[in-house]
Parts: sequence; C-alpha cells; structure tokens
Amino acid sequence: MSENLLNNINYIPVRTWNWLGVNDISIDRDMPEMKPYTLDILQIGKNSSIDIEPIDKMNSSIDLLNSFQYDGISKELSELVKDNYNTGFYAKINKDQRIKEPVTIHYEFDTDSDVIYDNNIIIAEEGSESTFIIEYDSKDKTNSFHNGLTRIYGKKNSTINLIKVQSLSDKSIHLDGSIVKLEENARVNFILVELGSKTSVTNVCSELEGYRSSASVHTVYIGDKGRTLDMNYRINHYGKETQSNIEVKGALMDKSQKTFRGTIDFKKGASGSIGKEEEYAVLLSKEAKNKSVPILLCTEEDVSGEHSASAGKIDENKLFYLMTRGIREEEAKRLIIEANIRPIIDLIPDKNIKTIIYDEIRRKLVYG
Amino acid sequence: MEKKKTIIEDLDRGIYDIKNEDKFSYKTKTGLTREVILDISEKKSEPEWMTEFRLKSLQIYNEIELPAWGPALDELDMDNIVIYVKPDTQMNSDWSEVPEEIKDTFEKLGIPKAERESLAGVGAQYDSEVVYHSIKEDLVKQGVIYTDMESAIIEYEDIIKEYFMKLVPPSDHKFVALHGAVWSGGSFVYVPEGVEVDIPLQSYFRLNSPGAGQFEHTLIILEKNAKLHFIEGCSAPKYNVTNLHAGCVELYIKEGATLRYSTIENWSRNMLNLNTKRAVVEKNGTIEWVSGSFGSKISMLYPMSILKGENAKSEFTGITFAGKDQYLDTGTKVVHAAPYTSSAISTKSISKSGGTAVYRGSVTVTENAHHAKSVISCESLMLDDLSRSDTIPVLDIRNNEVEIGHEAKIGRISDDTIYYLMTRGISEEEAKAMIVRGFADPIAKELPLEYAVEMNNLIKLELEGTIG
Repeated sequence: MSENLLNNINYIPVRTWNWLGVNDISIDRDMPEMKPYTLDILQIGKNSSIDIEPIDKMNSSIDLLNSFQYDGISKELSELVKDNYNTGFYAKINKDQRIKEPVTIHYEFDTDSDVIYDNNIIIAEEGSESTFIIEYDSKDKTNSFHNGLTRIYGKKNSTINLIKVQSLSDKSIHLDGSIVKLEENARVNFILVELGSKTSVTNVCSELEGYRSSASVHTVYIGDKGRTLDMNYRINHYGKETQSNIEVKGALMDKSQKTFRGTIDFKKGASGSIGKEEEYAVLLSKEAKNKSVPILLCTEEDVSGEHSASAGKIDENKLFYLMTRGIREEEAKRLIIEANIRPIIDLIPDKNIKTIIYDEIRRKLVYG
Repeated sequence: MEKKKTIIEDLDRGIYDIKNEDKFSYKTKTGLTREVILDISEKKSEPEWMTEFRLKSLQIYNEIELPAWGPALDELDMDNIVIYVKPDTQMNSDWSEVPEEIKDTFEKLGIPKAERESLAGVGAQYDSEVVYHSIKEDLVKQGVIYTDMESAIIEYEDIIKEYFMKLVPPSDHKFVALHGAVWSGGSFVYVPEGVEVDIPLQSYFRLNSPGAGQFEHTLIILEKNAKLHFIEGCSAPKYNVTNLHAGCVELYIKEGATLRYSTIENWSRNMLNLNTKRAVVEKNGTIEWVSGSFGSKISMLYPMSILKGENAKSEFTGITFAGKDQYLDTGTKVVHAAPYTSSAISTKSISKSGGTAVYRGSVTVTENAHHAKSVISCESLMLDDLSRSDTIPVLDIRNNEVEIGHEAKIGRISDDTIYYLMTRGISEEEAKAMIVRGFADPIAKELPLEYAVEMNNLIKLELEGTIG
C-alpha cells in the first residue's frame, strides 16, 4: 500500500495560507500490513439490551448509508475502512426504544492485534434513545495502527450519545472519523476524550438535515511527550432551526502539539439556526505548539454563529492560592486543569470509565 | 422600487465613475513579456540593478502557481492587461500644471481641497505614473522626504536599494513577483529620527485606462521615535474589461516610532485588487492599520505586521462591505516575533445582494515571543440570504507565556431592534441604515473625517437600493 495515503489528510473545507500548515496534516509512517482482528469487542452478554452484532457484508451495505457523502479523515482512508475492515459493529436501536444503560464497545490493541480498521454503524430508529461508549486502548506498549470510521444515522426524534475514549500507547497512530446524518428533531452528542497515541487524527462531520436537528461535540484532550493531536470537526446546518455546539478543552505539556479545526457551515435555507464553537487550551510547556482554526461559513441571513478561542498558561493566581494551602505545584496544576475539563467528563454516564480517565489525567499531569 | 434601485446604482459611484478619455503619452502592448519590462525600465531611465530586479521578478512570477485558496482568479488574463500607461504629463508640484482633465478628476475626488485644508502633503497617481506631489515647506526643513518612487530611485538610490522589496520579497507570492517585475509609481516617505508629522500625508491612486494594471509601490521609513499618519485612497471608473491592481506597501517602523496607515479602497467593480502590504515594527514601535474595503470585483488584501522588537504593537481596524458580484477576501496577519509584543484586531464585514465577504487572518506567536498578547474580534453582518460571509482565522501559538483571545460572531439585524425603532416613528429603511451605521461606527471613528462621511454615504446608498 502506498504511504502517501497518510499525506494531506483531515483537510479543512476551505483552505487558507499554506505556510501556516493548517490546511491538512501528513503523517510520516507507512501503512501497516492488514491482518485479522479477533478480539471480542462487544463483550456479548454485557450489551444484551440492544440489537448489536459484528459488522459483516450484509449489514454494512444498507441503503441508508449510501446517502453519506462526506470524506471523514480522507476519502481514501474511509474507503479503506469500508472495503477492508477487520472489525466493527452494526447497531440498530428500535423505534421508541430507550436504552438507559450505555452500550460499551472495546477495541483493544496488543502485540498480536496491532492493526484495527473498525467499521461501525449505528442506526437510530424514530424516537429512540441510546448511549454508546467506544474505547480504544493498548494492552501493552505496542506500536499499533488504528483507522476507524463510525457512521450514524439518526431518524426523527432520536437521540444518540456517543462517547469515544482513546488511550492508545505512545507509539500508536489513531485515525478516527465519525459521520452523522440527522432527520427532523434528531440529536447527536459526542464526547471525545483524547489521552494517548503518538499521532491522533480525528474527524467529526455532522449533517443537520432535519428541522430542529442538533449536534454537539465536547472534547477533552491531554497532550504530553511528543504527541500530535489533529482535530477537524465540521457541522453542516441544512435544516431550519438546527443547533450546533462545539466545545474543546485541553492541556498541552512537553513537546506536544495540537491543531484544532472547527467549521460551522450555515447552508442556505438553514434559517433560525444557531451554531457555537468554543475552544480553550492551557499551555503547560514552553515547547508545546497550539494551533486553532475556528471557521464560520455562512450563506443564510437569519442565523447566529459564534466562535471563540483562547489560549494561555495556567492561571497563576489560582495556582498560587492552592499552593498557599499546602498543595504542591503539580497537584495544584492538576486540580485547576481537572476543574476546567470536569464539566465535560462528568457527562459520561459510566463511573468506571470516568475513574479511568481521571486516573490517566492524574498520571500524566502529576507523575509525567 | 425597481426604478429607485436603478437610480441608486447610478448615484452610487457618482464621482468615482467619471471616465476620462484614455489619453496617454505612452502605453505598453498588452501582456507580460521580457520586452515589455525592458521597455518600461528604459522609459523610466532606471539604474541597472532595478532592471535586473524586474527581470528576476518576472522569472519568479512565471515559476509560482496561483494561490490554492481564496477566490477563483480565472478571469485574470495577463495577456489582456496593459502593464504600463504613462499619462500625458510630467510629475508636477503645482496643480495648475496638471492637465485640466486629470486635475478635474482629482478636484472631484476632493484631493486638492483636502490638501489645502487638512493635509501636510499629497501625492496623486494617474494610471501608471505620479502626476502631482507636494509637501509642506516646514516638513522639508525637518528632513522629511515625500516624493514619488521614480524620483526617489534617482535622488535616494542608496536608501531605495537597501529597502526596496526586502520586506516583501518577490518570492512571497505570485502577485508580488508580478509587482516586482512591473511596478510603477507610488510614494516614498522618509521621516527622520524624532520628527513627528502632525498632519497626515495622502497619496491617491486613480486608474483611468480601461484594461490597465496599476502597480504602485509605497515605501515608508520611520526612523527612531518618528511619527506619521499616511492616508491612501484608491478608485477607478467602471469598464467592461478587467483591470488589475497589484500594489505593494512596505513600512519600516524603527524603535519607538508610530505609523498610522489608513486606506479607503473604492475600486470599480471590474477591478481585481491583489494588493500586498507589510510592516516591520521594531522595539516599542507601533503600526496602526485602518482599512476600508468597499470596491473592486475581487480583493485579496491582508496587511501584515511583523512585530520584530520587544514591546512592538500592532492594531488593525478594518471594515469590508461586499455588494452585488463582489468577492472581498480581506483580513490581516500578525507575527509576534519578540517578547512583550501585542496586537489587537477588530474587523467588521457586511454582505449584501449576493456579495461575499471573507475574513481571513492569522496570528503567529513564535517560540521566543513570551508575554505576547493578542485580542481578535471579528463581526459579520448578513443583510440577506443571497450573500455569503465566511470567517477563516488561524492562531498559531508556540510558547506558553501568552494571552491570546479570539472571538467571532455572525448574524443579521434583529427584527426586534428594527421594530423598536419603527415604533419610534423611524422608517424601516432608515432604521436598517441606522443599525448598519452603528455596526460600522467603531471603524468609521478611526477613519479620517472625509472618509468617514464617505463611508456613511456609501452605506446609506447601498442600503437604499436593497430595501423594499
């Protein structure tokens, strides 16, 4: 396979000056040899309340998915998942079915299973409500490669909550795209937690087609060591009175670097729509690099769009205050950063996962 | 109502649209060739290094691709652009010596009047050459130089050679390379150490010749603790062929100096305005950009500030008003390259009748620029659903001792506000115009008075044409 599949990926819908290096990202790595993945991702038995099964030729080719036009991280990488997946799931939530318990899918990498191309499909029927938690983690320090695609179709009045937690080993490549299409009054809420990998490239594209449909993306990240985080979110408002909300918070340490691109696109006809985008980066190291590209595109008069981005070092007054109370510096920093991201983490309805996340953040911030 | 719209279109550009007969003493053939460039250089009796510089730039131009972003530039066909049009007159320092017709145009644009009332010096360019330049005696005595670039290159060759296109090298992008090859006209300003020029200098660029290009070069050097306000105005009558403006502005602001650079651009709507402006600011120096973009068919204009010395400052205040068939891609770039530098960006844009207004910007903070501060605010107003308004900002931060904040908003005039004003007996048209004027007011305040008045008139006329 040609290595240039990893060049110029995760591109923004409108380009700007090349010298800024934000139009796309290229990863210096060869594509891995494809191999089977045999671990049990669904932990059958645990997710019995829902119609969920491993992905196969039949369920991955349903007509509904043909209407998905968007590229994900790149057209080629998404096609690769569609044609050559080695794992994935297909879930359907029946009409008016409301599932309280989150459905958990666990993708684990180890030395034998270090390549995952997961093809995930969620179809939410009318009036249904569901929550999915997808975990990506490494059992050991394996040099793994992940290329995943999650497609979600939300029918009328459905709600889908999707939580993705990524804590791959420090050498791993994480490529993850999510594409969503929503009918009238349907909602999707993403919570994305980015804690690991060497290079993490994530893409979310939500198509708000139905009247009053809405999408939110809440992201928390921690950059440490030499991690590269590359995020590219896009929300397309087509329907009237649609709503979007993007919130990204995180901290950058060591020599980590982050690029956040967020696009809210008000298409003609999306009158009465509201879009909001907010980003805040805490810079904990002199050598960290932080790029933000918050884009608003608009061809409709009757809309309201807002974005804000800010970056700076940790609030010294708060730090000083905590230290006067006898808390040592690293711990005080952790408390401040945790307070900042807690509102997002607390949206996750699974205690165990929350504990894992907080432990991981503590490990990174306090013990380096 | 239709009738009114027609009247507005006519009224709208009024004085700007007066076409003079295309008189010239010399005009190159259309197209961009080595011969045309040698021809221009010879006509200008330039030093050899400049001729070489032009030819080198032409080579670069031929090697560089068009930008892969921004508006489509398909209609630009260099084979159909007249590079150089020498007006039928010499450079003058007395309006009475300027040919009647040209003088009359500048009279209508209000330049001689402004000169008498509120300016310390004036330069007026007509097509490819400066036809008038003057500066107040007392400034000359203090060592201030304000002259056209052609004279400067002969009288102050050493200075020009040292600074010319060093800040904006021809390799920067395609249209700067073009500029390097074919530049003509423009102003040179030099303010010696400690001299504060209290009243503004103004250069006005008028392009009259159909199908021509204007490529003026403005070079301003402010020595230590000097101060200057420079105003630049541009306009052209509308023709059915494409005109091209690819000027270049280089501003050198030395330690403790302050420069305010105000521009009102009202090119006709057959103009491609692909202009490049850049300032380098040394320790404790300040650049203040005030930029109004109203005209042209396509604009790509992003004045750049390089904050090179400690505590250097940059302020950018801009307004863009995109009407029918206009694609105005404007913004600013700031590079914080030293500690304690600060920048403030405030832009507003209005889109109507199918116009496209894009804010494109970047703020870069380099590794050593600790304690850099930047505040960015962009607001866009959509006046109908035929138009387009995009905001494409980039923040690139490479150290952690910084305070950076960016905010942008997009929206329309709220019905509630209009309704409120109407209940007070104000007509809908006037209410809408009031709100738009209010939106633009913070920018208007930064403009020289006559330009602020002009901007308000433009807004009023533009709006009258749309409502109802």
